[in-house]
Amino acid sequence: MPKDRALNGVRILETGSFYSAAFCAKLLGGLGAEVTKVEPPTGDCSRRYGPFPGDMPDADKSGLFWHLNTGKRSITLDIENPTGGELLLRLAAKYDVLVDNNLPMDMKRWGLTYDAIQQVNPGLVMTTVTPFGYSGPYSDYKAGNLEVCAAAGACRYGLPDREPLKPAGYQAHAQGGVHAAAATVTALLARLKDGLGQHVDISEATAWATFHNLVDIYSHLAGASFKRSGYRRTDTPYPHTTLPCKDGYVMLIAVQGRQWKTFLELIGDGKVPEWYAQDPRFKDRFEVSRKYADELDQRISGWLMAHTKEEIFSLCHERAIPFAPVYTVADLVAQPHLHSRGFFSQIEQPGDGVQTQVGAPFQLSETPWSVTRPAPRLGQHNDDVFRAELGLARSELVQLRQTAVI
Amino acid sequence: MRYPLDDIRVLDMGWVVAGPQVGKLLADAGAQVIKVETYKRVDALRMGPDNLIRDVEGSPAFANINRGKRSITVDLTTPLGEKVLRELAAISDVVISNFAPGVMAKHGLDYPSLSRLNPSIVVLALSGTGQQGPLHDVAAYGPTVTALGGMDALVGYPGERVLGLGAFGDANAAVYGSYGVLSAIYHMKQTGRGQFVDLSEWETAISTIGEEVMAYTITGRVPQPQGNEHPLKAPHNVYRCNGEDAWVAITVSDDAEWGALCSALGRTEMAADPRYASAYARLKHKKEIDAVITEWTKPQDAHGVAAGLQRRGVAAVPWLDIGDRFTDPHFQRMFQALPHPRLGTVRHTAVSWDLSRTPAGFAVTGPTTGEGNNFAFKELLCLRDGDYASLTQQKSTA
Repeated sequence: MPKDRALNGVRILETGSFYSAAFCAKLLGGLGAEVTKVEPPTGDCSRRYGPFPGDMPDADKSGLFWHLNTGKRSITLDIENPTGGELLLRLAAKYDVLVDNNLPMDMKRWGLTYDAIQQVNPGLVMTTVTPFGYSGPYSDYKAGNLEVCAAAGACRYGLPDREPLKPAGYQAHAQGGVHAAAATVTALLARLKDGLGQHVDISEATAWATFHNLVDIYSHLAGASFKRSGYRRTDTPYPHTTLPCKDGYVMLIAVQGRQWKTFLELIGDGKVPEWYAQDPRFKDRFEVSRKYADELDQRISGWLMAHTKEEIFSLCHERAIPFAPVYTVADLVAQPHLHSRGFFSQIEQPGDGVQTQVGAPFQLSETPWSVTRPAPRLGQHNDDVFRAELGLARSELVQLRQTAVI
Repeated sequence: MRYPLDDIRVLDMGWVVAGPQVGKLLADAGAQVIKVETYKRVDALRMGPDNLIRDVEGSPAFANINRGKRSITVDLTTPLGEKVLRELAAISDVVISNFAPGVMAKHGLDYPSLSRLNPSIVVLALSGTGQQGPLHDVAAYGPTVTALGGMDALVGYPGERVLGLGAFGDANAAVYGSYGVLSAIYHMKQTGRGQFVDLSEWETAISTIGEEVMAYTITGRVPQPQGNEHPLKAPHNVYRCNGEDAWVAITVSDDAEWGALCSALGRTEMAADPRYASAYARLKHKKEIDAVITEWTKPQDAHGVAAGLQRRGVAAVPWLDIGDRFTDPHFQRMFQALPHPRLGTVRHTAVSWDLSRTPAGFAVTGPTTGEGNNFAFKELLCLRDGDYASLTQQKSTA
């Protein structure tokens, strides 16, 4: 166990569903906050996503749920029901942070507004992560990851004449979660000064639109609009593309001319190939990108197809050429550099053995990331929380369970 | 207290985008951020394609990412430069950099050196692949980070070749970086002890698709490009609308929403059709469903489709490009115009998060080169005139 945790003593209640609130709370938990996840009595929907060990569906063994929720406690509570909502407020009185991703109109209908919560606990930080935030004309829009990505500018991949593609993963939710984690700590810093909490309002769409692809915004204002272009950029010097190699793909980019020249020397066995050096069309790499990219791709494809991702990566690394393998998750899990940095966590899920998963997103020298507790079974900590923290009797818990409040 | 970080001083030695974006988030939250520049080598962001007047003070992108910051000029390759930066670090709370590993150490500005001067200091070093490890010296740029990070391999149309071309390594790393720095500050406030934050853009990229790593651990299956598809939901795609490159994103999450969509389509018989009556069935027939939806959306305006579906309780939002967002009722609030000494006014992106009681904000655009020299060298460090002249008299050769 590390000797100290950055967010020691911070107690977090996590409501909502699926990804964005769970990811925010996971990030805070990795730095030492204690996270209690509040699930509906039927369990969070991520328990249905899997994948499952041996392809045997089990609500306690969903890969997506495990990834998002290792290290947390789980209680069940129907917060949409006034009895459940009242219990949530009683819990909120004893916690430092509430992280939620329900739509504003739903939280209002359930009486779980920031106003109501800060009355029971003026020191509580309420962090909400919603598609379009708590203000503005879209604040109650129904929107999943795809919708937010489409509106915010994240669907910027794919071919120009076909549907725009979203980025990998549930990126709107992931970004919402990281922004929410940083903003929550900002609010905790404010609280250190005067003991007061506040509402931290994260809009997934705003987070993306105000922080990502900023250079594109200003290029647009200067008259040069970004347009998706498949596997190749045509507005930057050649190469800026993803091409097949022997066992997959490699990403080629050469910001500096020297890097491209070094690559040409590499494939030309020590000198730039004649077919390149003697052709005046190839003098200007911007021209090549615009007009001769197909031809160049063809010329170098032979060498690429004769080498694996790792061979290309290694040869380029030695020569400071920034080409990168297009890694699959299998490649990542096998990558010694990542293991040497302690990037992966090994967490034992009872009954299923040790699971390799992503761990520290960065290395902290004094208070390193640490998650050791497995993802919880549904309602695993109902006793710990409702009895020990709220003082409910066992018989009350039984009745609450029978009536589907917990 | 106006801002949460108004007692925090940051030395922003960041270069171009990644490091400076961490500085931006901290400045928005009230920190005093001093951006370290040098006349010897102009920050590449100052001379990007958005700079139409081709003067180092003429980049709106630079002005935006560095709003609210001071700028000082220091030649890191001189003993005076190194000394001045160490003196500033001694009276700062945070030092940020995104140089290649080893550069800070070479100039006596690595974490061990700085923490000896100032045990409370939080130092963030942000690089492509991290400060140590066999690949720590790999040359990485924002675009290669998504290739390394497993993200590009997932971008492509279903069953077709990988397209990739991710471009978000720097910004993503900066958000994670700010989370790391803020947490380290929180810890420092309680204990007086600072620490070193070693951030690899590669690792932060992978962190955003951690569930894919988990899935591989469990199944041993390597995922292929899935387009816009969702493992549990159909329809779930971006559909063509009327106009050039006009699209609407639609997701149906349950049978009630499917019924509502069918009503909107004027195809209520599809709601009861066993081929589409459950998510399971719809996943099996998603191509057909997508074709029916496209027939309906193709002649319509994307905003109209989205508004109509939202009224019926279906998740639908228009696909917007950069230009659209300037006029969209939600996104247009994302821009705040401020006066700029060379460009008249510049539109800045609003703060990325809203705190109700101590809201983040900014009142001043990005700094001109060295405008903070008097403040830093005279007011903060009380440098002698000779040293001050040395630091400030070099002129840009860009």
